[in-house]
Amino acid sequence: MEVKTEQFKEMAAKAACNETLNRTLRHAGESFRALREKGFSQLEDPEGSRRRGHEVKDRCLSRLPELLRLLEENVIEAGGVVHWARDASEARRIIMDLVKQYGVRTIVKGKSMMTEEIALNKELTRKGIEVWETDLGEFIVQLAGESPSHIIAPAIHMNREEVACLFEKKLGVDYTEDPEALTMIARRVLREKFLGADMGITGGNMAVAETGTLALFENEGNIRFATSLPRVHVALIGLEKVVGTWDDFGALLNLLPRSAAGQKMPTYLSLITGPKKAGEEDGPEAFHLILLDNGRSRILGDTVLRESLFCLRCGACLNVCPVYERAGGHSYGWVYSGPIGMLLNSALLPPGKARDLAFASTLCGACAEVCPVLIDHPKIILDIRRRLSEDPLWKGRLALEEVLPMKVYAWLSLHPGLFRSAALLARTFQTLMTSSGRWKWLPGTLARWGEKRRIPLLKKPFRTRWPGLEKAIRGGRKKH
Amino acid sequence: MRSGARKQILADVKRSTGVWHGEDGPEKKDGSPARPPWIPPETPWDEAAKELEALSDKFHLARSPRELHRVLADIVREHGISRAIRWDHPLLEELKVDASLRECGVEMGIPARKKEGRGFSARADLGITAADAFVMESGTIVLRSRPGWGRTTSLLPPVHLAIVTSDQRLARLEDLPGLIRYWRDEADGLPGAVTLITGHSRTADIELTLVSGVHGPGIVHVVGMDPLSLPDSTGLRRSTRHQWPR
Amino acid sequence: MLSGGFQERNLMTDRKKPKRVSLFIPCLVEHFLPHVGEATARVLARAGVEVDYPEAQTCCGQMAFKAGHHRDARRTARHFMEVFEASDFVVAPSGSCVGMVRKQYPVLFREDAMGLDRAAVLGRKTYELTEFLVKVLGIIDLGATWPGRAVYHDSCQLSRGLGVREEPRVLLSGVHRLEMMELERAETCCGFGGAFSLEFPVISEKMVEDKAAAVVKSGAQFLISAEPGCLMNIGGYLEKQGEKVKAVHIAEVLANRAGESWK
Repeated sequence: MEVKTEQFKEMAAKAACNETLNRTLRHAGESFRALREKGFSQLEDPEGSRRRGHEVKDRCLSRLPELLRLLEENVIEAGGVVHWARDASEARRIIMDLVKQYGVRTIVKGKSMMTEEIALNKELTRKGIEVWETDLGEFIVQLAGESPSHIIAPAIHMNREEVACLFEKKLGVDYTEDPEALTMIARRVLREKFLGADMGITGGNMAVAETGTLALFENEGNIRFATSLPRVHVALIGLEKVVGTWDDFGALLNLLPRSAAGQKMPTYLSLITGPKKAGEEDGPEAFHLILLDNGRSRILGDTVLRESLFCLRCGACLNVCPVYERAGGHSYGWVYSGPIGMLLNSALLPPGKARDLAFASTLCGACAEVCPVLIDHPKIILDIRRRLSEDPLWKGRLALEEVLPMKVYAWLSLHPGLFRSAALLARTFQTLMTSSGRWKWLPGTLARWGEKRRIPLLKKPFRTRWPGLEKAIRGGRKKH
Repeated sequence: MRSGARKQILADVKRSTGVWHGEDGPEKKDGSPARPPWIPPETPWDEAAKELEALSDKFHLARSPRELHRVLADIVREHGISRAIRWDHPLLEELKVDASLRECGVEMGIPARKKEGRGFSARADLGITAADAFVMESGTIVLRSRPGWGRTTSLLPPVHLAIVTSDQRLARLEDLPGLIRYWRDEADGLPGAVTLITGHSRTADIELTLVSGVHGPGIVHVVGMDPLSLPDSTGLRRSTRHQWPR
Repeated sequence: MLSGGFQERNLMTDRKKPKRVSLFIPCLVEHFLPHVGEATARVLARAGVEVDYPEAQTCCGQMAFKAGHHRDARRTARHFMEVFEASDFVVAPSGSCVGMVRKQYPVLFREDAMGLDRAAVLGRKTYELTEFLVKVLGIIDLGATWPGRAVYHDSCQLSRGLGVREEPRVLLSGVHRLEMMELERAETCCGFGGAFSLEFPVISEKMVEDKAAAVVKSGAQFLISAEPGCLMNIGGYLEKQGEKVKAVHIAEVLANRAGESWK
């Protein structure tokens, strides 16, 4: 997917002024939040479950080398093939080779953020391969030529009229705004594709090393189709998806569907171990698992960023983030959006490329409060900010006006006497620049702040009032 | 084939993770794990009925093959079924499902025995399977893919019916890891697919409006039966259900 | 100390009551809301502790830290730690500043063992005002009066950051003639976030707009918060939009007595 993280400010500002989008995201956030709360309230020990999830991810990532080997061994034993891809281009090459090897002309895809990361669809389409997204939201977004805007509800930013027009134009069907009718159209169109496709490409929610099994969560059934009908199944997962045992899986099963949509279980959970066995009518003849690094091995070694790899892709943090609610998913400029997007985009892209994302947060902590695996987003964002200011690898060229006021203030803070004088100076400046209690002129950013808010005036500082105050309360104390 | 990538990735990961000093996971456990904690067959089905209702799906209790026949007739009527497919499964044979359905005017097909590919299945209105396990806590049907027990039987038709016997039920989702291990050891490896079905296919991708049956079935019927209600002709009453002769 | 009648409404605590508290006055209070500092001092005095004010204090370093300038923040923090070294207790009318000292100083001094030690000591004795009153002093009733209808806005740093949610509410429930109303999405961020409101003005404005709408919808006459930044943000917005709701700091409410005009 094309990287547009540098346009965050612009895109977010525009999105924030889009009332329709605002209403949509607000409603979606409320709905998902309510579902999540209901789901978690059914757990005997919600906090304990989250801690356990954190511990499982921590342990599995710490043991990744052996788990990767074990996974590979078991997938091969089950008749599957394992490929290793260091980066996006290597992953694309592997898939193109498989396309050639199996004479593939049509591909059906299950939802996979990984395939967005490696910009797969564009490459396949360029080479003349027919690619069909089959998750309804992804299908809609693909037809629209857009990218998904939410981890679990890709087309959430579009309303029914837009979808109706899209279907009419791109599929040649009669115009209808009814969500059910639109869904049935998609069902019909995609079913044909499923029946005729040569290859199914999916991501994977988890890979269990213990038996070499890929776990796929969904509610629609498109992943079941993609893994049951075509001759070849290719699954692309990031290294961090690997867990050790079925107990580890169980701990995360407890969390993911609840956190995403308040469910005890996804509608369909497919546990895939290799291709179909001899005699089976349904299922792929070949199963190929691609393990993709694309920066993850590097992030693993980073004591702070490493935690962002715990992410289960549930979307809960998006649903509580006030910034996401207004900026919408596309503003984040790359595959991942919302609070986790700030972390992953910053970690996976070249250092500093997603600079604005790290500062577009009030650090309100709503995300960390709901994360099923206890990722501390604010802590990580603060460390990314440190790197952007102080780490030569990240900081790039900082503008003087960005840094100077902060530096001056910091220096003053070390000299109480000067700090006091500076305050006096500022109040003098204020006297000149205000009349009848209102500012007449202010530097750029401060003036902007004052467009919608009354800018407060500098008062006689507290420290000048202390002597009188001290007397009053000491005296007053005797009375009380 | 591309061993360079494999070697480099493993080296990079190893460097990043260092040495793990914590406890080892039981990934390579030897010895056979305990049998799954099936709940007593006489346990009532109420919890399952409640879960399925909450999912807007249906539960039926059939205390005899005759009651099953009635349930099937109701379902055929409710959904206007004219064509059905089923697993090639001893339980479904024993229960004479084909006869019941033909009596209701339904055309039956067993995909495993058909040579014509998916055409019939794709046009079926109803798909009937047995089950390998059932989780009461969530109303989840667990199906193993086997020859004759195809994945698409419960996927292609718009209505799915699963017959679950009372001796193949687990109480909780946390029993699943044990079940999977048991199956892995019993059959020396897991099947190509273990599919856990909890309710019917759904989506809310358009304006968060819930729509059923987007790709998979729009409704699931679970029929609970007591194996003791079956004529004991093939020893099906005994709890060897989990190792169907195949 | 406390007039008769209030003591029996307060929590029994067998902790030895602290005698001396040093005021920690956040930058925003120092320069823009000094009356909040005054109210804080009066509240503490009324609660029966001796209050002092280390004059050499300047800033806790939060701004520099949150901008990513850890080196600068460390220098400021060292000065801060020195200033409050001799204090028994340090109390501030702000969750974000206390959060900085308690939670972020250990991060700042992660690689400096001595600094880490000092930070730990300071962190243990630094409190936000309402948390100090309720958890340390065991006081929930200060004999305050504030006639009117009000809502309470939870600042992110105080509620999620420090886990202080009940304390302000308990204290407000003890205020005479004050009617507390329900505020929708009370814990949702108001959009200030310090520099965030300057760097991302459009999003910040949308957030404060929503918060202000919720405040107005509640029918309250007063918006109470324990966070100066939030007050300036939401209060500034309400005022500019011509709303009648007044934004006040919880210290002002708790300091207020019938017939007194200490302002």
